[in-house]
Amino acid sequence: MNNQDFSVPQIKEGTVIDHIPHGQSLRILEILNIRPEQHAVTVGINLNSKKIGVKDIIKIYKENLDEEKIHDIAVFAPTATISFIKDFEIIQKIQATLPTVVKRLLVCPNQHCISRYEPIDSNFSVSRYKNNVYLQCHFCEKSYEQREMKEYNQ
Amino acid sequence: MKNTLYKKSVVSIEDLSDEDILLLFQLARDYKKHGPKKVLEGKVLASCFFEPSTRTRLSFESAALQLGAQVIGFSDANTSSHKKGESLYDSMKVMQNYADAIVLRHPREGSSRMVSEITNVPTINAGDGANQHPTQALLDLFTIKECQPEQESLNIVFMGDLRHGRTVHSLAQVCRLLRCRLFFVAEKAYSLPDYITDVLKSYAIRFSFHHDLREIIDRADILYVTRLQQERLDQATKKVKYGLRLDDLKNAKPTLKILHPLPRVDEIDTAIDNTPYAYYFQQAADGLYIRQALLTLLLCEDVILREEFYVDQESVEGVR
Repeated sequence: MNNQDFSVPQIKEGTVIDHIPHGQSLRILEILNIRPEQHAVTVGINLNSKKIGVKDIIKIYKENLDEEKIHDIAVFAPTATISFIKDFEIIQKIQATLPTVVKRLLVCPNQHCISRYEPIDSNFSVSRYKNNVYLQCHFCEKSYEQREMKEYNQ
Repeated sequence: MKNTLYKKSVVSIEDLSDEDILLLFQLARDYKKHGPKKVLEGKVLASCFFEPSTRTRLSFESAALQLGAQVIGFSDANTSSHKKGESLYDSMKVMQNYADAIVLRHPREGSSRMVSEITNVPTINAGDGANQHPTQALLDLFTIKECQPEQESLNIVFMGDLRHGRTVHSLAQVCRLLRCRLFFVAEKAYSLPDYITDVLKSYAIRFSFHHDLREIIDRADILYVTRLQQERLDQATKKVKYGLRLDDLKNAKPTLKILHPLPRVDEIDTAIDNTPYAYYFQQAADGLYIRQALLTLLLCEDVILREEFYVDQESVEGVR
């Protein structure tokens, strides 16, 4: 697939999330609760990448993500690079790192898990095995592949 | 001996170290041989069973009473607060003020983990959905050690619903404290899940899968039978294809011992009860001693044994 003609325009000010594993950008937007009425966003999907082969990229205009949000998305985009832009210049660059624990963000897929029914934060320990990211629920002890996590708490 | 279990919660079999387990067994042997001591006078145990149980609940309640404690609680979810829609969170936040320890059985997985974290008294998991039942695993392991002492290596056969049975999962994991070789006999739909075999591999425990008990009955030292978990399955075939009959034991070792967590339906023919192989009722008795020992260790800081029991140092170091 030759998509070298595709490029996502530079932004003057805001946040760039680059090197997202291809196909994950829409999920990242969902997690970040990016609303069309509140944010201007450009998204590139399945672009060539020197770093990871194929990537997605998100540029959010006039918004700097806080650190907690960055940790949250790292589970789904452990290769991501987050850059804060001002006046077309990168003022800070952060490499996402896979966290060891994810709290609050994810809903346990186990329908019988107590965390779905009680006033407690969900809690998953994160691990990598071969090329996959696994999440184990602290409560019900079940393990899931990252792609099985389909529900989020806002 | 240092009491490493004091004020601890027992939610998952993984919460206990090998040292914890051996301490528990030493005290259980003490109670088995010399009878209980009134070490829990003045203490209250909350027995909170949101799901039916006979053995586990009565075993805990009897254990507590024999140690001099008082028991409060309930035996099903038809309590007024639950019916009014009160969360488990709220009801246990209140319960911790009424008791020195909580024994909890609840249909939702992770319920005991949550309760152990939101309360300041020890929580004992008596079964959280299809997840864990740590005291069952402990009493099973204790029973195995009691009924087959002084062995080089034990051949343990598991038979029945190995996919959904939480007792089998916990017991297979804790078998690392024995020198053993495991044999799993089940139909394909009920075979052991991968995450359990992964754990066994990580502990370097040897195991194999079989379709017919008769292939391996002559090698078995322990035969652990479980029932089809009807209330845990969505669409189970109710027929028990893997029932154990007297005829199946034709070539069994005379020292074979048969275990079953109970209740039994028709997985073990009653004709087997009068043979020297049947150990399932003594297994239930061993459960009482384990629970007495557990309650004592969780609630009493200083524990004294009435005699020195041999501690198998190799077990402490594990087979890893």
